[in-house]
Amino acid sequence: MRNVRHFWIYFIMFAGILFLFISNDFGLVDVQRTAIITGLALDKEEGELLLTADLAVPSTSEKGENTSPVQVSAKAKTVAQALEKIGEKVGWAPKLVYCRVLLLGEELMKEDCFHYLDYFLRNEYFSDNCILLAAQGQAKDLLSVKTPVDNIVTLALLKIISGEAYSSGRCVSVVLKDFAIGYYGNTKSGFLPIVKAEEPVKKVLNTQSGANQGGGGEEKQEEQVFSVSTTALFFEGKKQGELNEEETFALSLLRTRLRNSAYQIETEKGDYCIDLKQNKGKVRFFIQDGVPRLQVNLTARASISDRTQVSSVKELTSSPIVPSEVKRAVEKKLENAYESLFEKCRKTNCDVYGVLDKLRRYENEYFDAYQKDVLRLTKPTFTVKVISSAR
Amino acid sequence: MNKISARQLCLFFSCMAPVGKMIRLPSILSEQAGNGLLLSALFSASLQLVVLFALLKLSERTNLSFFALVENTFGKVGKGIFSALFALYFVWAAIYPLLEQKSFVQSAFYDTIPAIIVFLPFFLFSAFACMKNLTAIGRSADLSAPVFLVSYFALLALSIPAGDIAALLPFREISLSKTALSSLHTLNWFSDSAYLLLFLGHFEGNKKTTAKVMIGYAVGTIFVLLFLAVFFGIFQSIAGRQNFAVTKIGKYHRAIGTMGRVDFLFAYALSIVLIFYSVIPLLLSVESLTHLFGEHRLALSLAVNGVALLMVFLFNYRSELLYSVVNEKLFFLFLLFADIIPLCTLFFRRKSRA
Amino acid sequence: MKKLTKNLQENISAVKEILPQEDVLVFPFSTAGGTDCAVVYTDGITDKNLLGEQVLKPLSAFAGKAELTALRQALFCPEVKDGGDLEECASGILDGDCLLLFDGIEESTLLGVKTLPARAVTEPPTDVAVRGPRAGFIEDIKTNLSLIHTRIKTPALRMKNLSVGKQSKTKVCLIYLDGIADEKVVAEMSDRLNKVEIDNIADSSYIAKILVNKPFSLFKQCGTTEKPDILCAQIMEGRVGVLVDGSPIGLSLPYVALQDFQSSEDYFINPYRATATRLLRFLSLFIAVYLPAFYVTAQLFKIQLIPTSLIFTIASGVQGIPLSPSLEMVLVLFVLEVLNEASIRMPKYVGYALSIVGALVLGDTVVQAGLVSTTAIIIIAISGICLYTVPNLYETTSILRWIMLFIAGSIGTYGLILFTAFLLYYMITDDNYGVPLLSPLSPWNANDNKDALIRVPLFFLWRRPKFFKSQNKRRLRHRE
Repeated sequence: MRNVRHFWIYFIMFAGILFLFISNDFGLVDVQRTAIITGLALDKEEGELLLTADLAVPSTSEKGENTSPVQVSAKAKTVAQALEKIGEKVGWAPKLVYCRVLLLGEELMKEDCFHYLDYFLRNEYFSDNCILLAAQGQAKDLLSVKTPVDNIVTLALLKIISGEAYSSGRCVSVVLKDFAIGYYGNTKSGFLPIVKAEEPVKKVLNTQSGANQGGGGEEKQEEQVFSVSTTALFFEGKKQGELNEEETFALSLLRTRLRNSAYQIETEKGDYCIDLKQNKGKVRFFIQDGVPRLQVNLTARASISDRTQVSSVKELTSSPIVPSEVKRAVEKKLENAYESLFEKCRKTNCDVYGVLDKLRRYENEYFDAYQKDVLRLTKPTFTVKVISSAR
Repeated sequence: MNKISARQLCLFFSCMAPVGKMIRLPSILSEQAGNGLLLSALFSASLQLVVLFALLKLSERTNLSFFALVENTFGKVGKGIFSALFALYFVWAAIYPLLEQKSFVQSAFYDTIPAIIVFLPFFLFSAFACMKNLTAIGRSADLSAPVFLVSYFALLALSIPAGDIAALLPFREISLSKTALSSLHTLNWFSDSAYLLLFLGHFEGNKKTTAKVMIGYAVGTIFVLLFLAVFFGIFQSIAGRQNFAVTKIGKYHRAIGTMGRVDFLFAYALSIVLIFYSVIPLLLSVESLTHLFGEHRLALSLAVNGVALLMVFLFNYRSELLYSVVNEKLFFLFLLFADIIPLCTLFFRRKSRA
Repeated sequence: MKKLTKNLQENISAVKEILPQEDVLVFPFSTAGGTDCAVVYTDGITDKNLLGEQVLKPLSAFAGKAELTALRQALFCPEVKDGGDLEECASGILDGDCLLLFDGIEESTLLGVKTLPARAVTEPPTDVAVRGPRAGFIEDIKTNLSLIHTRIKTPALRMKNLSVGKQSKTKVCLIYLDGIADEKVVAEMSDRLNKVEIDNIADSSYIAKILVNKPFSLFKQCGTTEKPDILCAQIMEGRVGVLVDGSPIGLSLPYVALQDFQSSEDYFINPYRATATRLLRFLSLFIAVYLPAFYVTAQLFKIQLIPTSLIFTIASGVQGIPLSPSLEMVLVLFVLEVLNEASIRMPKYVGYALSIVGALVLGDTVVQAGLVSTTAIIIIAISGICLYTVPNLYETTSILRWIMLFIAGSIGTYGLILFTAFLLYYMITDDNYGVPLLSPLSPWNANDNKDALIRVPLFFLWRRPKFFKSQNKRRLRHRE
C-alpha cells in the first residue's frame, strides 16, 4: 500500500506539472516573439546616448535568406533606458544574448566610454565575450552599410574580425572582458580595432533597354566593405590616439599566432611580399641598475609569397628561403614599428605592452617608486629575428 | 545497510565537495582577498585536512557512530541535545548555499529572470532524497565522479587558453590579514568535516581508508585551487563581479563562437553534482533528527525541507544580509560544528557507561 | 472430495464429476488377462497415437498378474508417475497427461503422452542479431528448457519447477547453476512464487511483477530476453533464469539497468566495435529522451543554448506557427506515437497506404500548411529512431520522453536537470535482491565495468560480476 501511496504522490506531482505546462506563461518570451539583437552601436548625440540596435528579424524569403536586418535607434541617458525604448518600438522583447558586436562611435570615445559600457558588465544576461570595435565617425552609420559579406552587418563584422584579417595579423580582436580588465586594472589602458567602411562597390542590376524604371534606366545598389587595419588607443576609457597599419600588424605579431600573412617589404632588389608564420613574441620587463627596461623579442619564420619582379624557376622553388637582405629589411621595419608603437604609448599613456602590470608583478619592490611615470622612464629594446622557413 | 565505502568517501571529497566551491566562492574570494585567494582557500582547506585526519584516526580505533560516542559520554539527554543542535546547524549551513544555488539557477538556466517558483521543485527532490540513508550519499558520489571529471576538465580546457596565470603575481602584495579574514568568512564552504563526523560508524575505518580519504580531499583541494587560479587568471581586476564562475570561465574559447555555448552543457552536468551535494546537509539534518525522534523519515524530511524552503523565501531578496550574518558575523558556528566539535570527539568515551 | 477406490466405475464417475467437460474422454478396455482398465484424457492435447502405441497396445496384450507394478512395467511409455489424489489426477488430465485406472487397484497412474500445439523455433522479432545464434524461445516450456539444456551441459544446472496460478496452474521453472547463483536469491524467488495467490498467469510479465521489489516502478526491475543464448549467458554469470509456460519471454534476476544496453552480438564481434556500439546506444537513448525537451527548453527558456548560426534557421522556421514550441512538440510527438501504435496493430494490407499517409501527409503537408515547423519534425524523427536502439527499454524511455517534454515546457532547463538528478537518485537507491539497479556504475566496480558500457576483450573477463555475490568467482582461465 506504501507503493500505492507513492504512486498517488507522483501522480499529483505530474498533474501539477501538466497544469503548469498548459496554463503557464511566466512571462516567457519564446523565439517567435524575440527580437534578436546581433549588434549595438553606441553614439553620443546632443549630450545623450544614441543606441542603435541591429536586429535580425526572422523571415522566410524566396532567396533562401532566413533573416532580414533592421536597425532601430533610440536616445536616452542610459543604455537600459534606450533598450527599453527600442523594445517599445519593435514590439518584441529585445534579447541581448546574441549580441556579438559593440560599436563605439567617435564622439562617445571622447569621454570615458565605461559610463555606458558598464551596463553590459552589470547585466548577467549579456555575454562579455562580445567583440568591441571603435567606429570611424558615427557607429550608427556603419550598421546601415550594405555589405556583400553578409546581409547582417554585425555578422559581417564578426567574420572579418575573427576570420582572415585576424589570422593574417591585419587587425587586433578585443572582447569586452579584456577591455574592462585593462580599464579596471592598474594600467587603465586598452585598445580597440577601428572599423571603417571603404569605397563603395557599385553593382548594376535589372538593366532593361529603353525602359524607364522609376526615374532611371538602371538600378544601382551601393555596397561597401569594412576595413579594420588600424587600432585606437585608450586611457581611462577615452580614446587617446591611433596605431597605423604597420603598428597594428606589429602588435598582432605579439598577441596571436599568424596563419596567413602578407607583409610588404621594399628592398633595393624590389618589393617582396613575405608570409610570416610561427611567430613568438616575448615581452620582458625588469629593473636594471635602477632603470626600468623593456625587452621585446620577436621571432618568426618567413617565406616569400610574391615579388614585384619576375622570378626565375629556381627562385620560385626556393620560396621558403628568404634572402638575408630581405630578412634584415623585415626585421628593421618591424623594430621601427615597435619603437613607434612604444612612443605612441608614451604619448597617450596607453600601456599596450603592459609595462605597469609587469612592474607590479615582477618588480613589485619598485612599484611605488615607478608606477606614476614608468612609461616615460622605461628604456625599451626591440629585437626581431626573422628566420627562413627552410634552409 | 547504511554503509559508505572508502572509495565513495574518497570520491565524495574529491569530486562532489569541490563543486560547491565553484559557484560564488571564486568571486567572493577574489573580492575579499584579491590575488591571495589561493592562500585563503588553502588556509581553510588545510584546517579541514587536519580535522579530517583526526576523525579518520578516530574511525580506525572505533566503529561507533558520532551519536553513539555522544551517548557514551553525555548520556541519552546529551545525545538528544547534540542531535537537535546538529540538525539545526545543518539546516543553517545549507541556507546560504541554497540561495546561492537559486541565484545560479536563475542566471544560468534562464534568459530572463524567472520567479522563485522555478527553484521550488528542488525542495520536492530534496524531500525525496532526505528520506534515503547514507548509502545514497555514497552511491551518488560514485555517479558524480565521472560527470564531475569530464565536465571539470572540459571547462578547464575551454578556459585555460584565455587565462593569464601571471595575474596571481605578485605574492608580495598578498595581505595576510585580508587573506585570513576572507578565509574565516568563507568557512561555510569549507565545512565538509561536519559531514564526515556524521559518517562515523558507517564506514570501515582503517589505515587504507584514512590514506584514501586524505588523498581524495587533497585532490579535491587541488581541483578547487586550480579552478580559482584559472578563474582569477581570466578575470583579474573584474573577478569580484563574476558570480557563478562555472558558467563564465569557458565562454572565451574561440570554438564557442562557432559551436555556441557548449560550456553550458558542462556547467549543467556539474549542476547535477551540485544538486546531489546541496541535498547532503538536509539529509544529515534528517539523519540527526532520527536519533531524537525515531525513524519517521518522511515526516522529518518534510519538516526539514519545509524549514529550508521557508528560509529561502524569507531571504530571497536579502541574500546580502544573509551573507553578512551567516558568513561574516556568525562564522564561528562553522568553526564550532565543523572543526572544534569533531576534534573534541577524539576525547569522547568509546565504551558505554553501562 | 471423493477419494479413489478399487472400483473402476466409481473412479471414472469421480473423475467425470470433477471434469464434466465434453472433451474429457474415457476409453475403457481390458488387458489380455481380463483386468478392466480405462484411460481418461483430454481430446486435442493428448497424442492418441502415442496413447495407442505406448499404452493401449501393450496393456491389451498383457496377460500377467493384475498388480500395479507389473501393469506399469508392461507399458512402453517412458513418462510414468503416480496420479496422486483426484485433484492431482484432474490437474494432470487438463495438462495433457493421460490418467490410467485399473479395476481392483486404488492407485492411479498418469502418463506423459501430451501433444501441445507449438510453433517452430525461429529468430525472435524483438532481438535480432546479425552474427550469432538465431534461435528464440517459444511458448512451450519444454522446448524452451531443451534449448537451455543444449547450451548448458553441466550437472550443476538446476531447474526448479513450480506451478503458479490457481486456475491456470502455469508451469514456471527457475533455472540456475548450483554453486554459482546466490542460494538466498533462489529461495526468495521460489518463496514469492509459492505465496502468491492469483488466478491466471497469462505471460511471464505477471511473474516478473510478482518477483520484483517495486512492481509500480517506471523502470524495469527484471531482465527479459527471447534468446536462449542470452539467458544462458546470464545464468552463467550468476543470475537466476525464469521460464514460464505459454510465454516466449524468459526472465532473469537480479537485474541491472546496463544489461539492456548489451546485445548478444557484442560478444561475437571485436571488442572495439562492441564498445563503440554500446556507447552509441547509450548516446542514442540520451538523445531520444532529451532532444525534444532540450529543443523546447532552449526556445522557451534559454535561447543562448542554440548556436548563432542555427538560431536564425530555427527562428525563421517557426515564424507563423500558431502553436507555442512546447505544444508544437507535443503535437508532433503525439502523432508519432499514434503512427507507432497503428503500425503495430494494423493489418498488413493497409500498412503500405498508412505509411504513405504518415510520411507524406503528416510529414510534408503539415509543414507546408504551417502547422508545425520542419525542425520539430526532424527532432522527433531523430528521437523516434534513437529510441529503438535499445528496444528493451522502450516502455520506460517513451514515457520519460513525455515527462521530460512536459517538464521542459513548464519548469524549463532547471526542471530537466532536477528531474535527471531525481531519476539518478531514484535509480541508485533501487535494489533488487541486494543488487543495485545501476551496478556497476553506482556502486562503482572496476572489474564489472569491463563489461558494462565498454567491452574489453574476452580474456580479461575472467571474473564473474561481483554484485551477484557468487561463490564461484572465476569463469575463465587462460594461458597461465
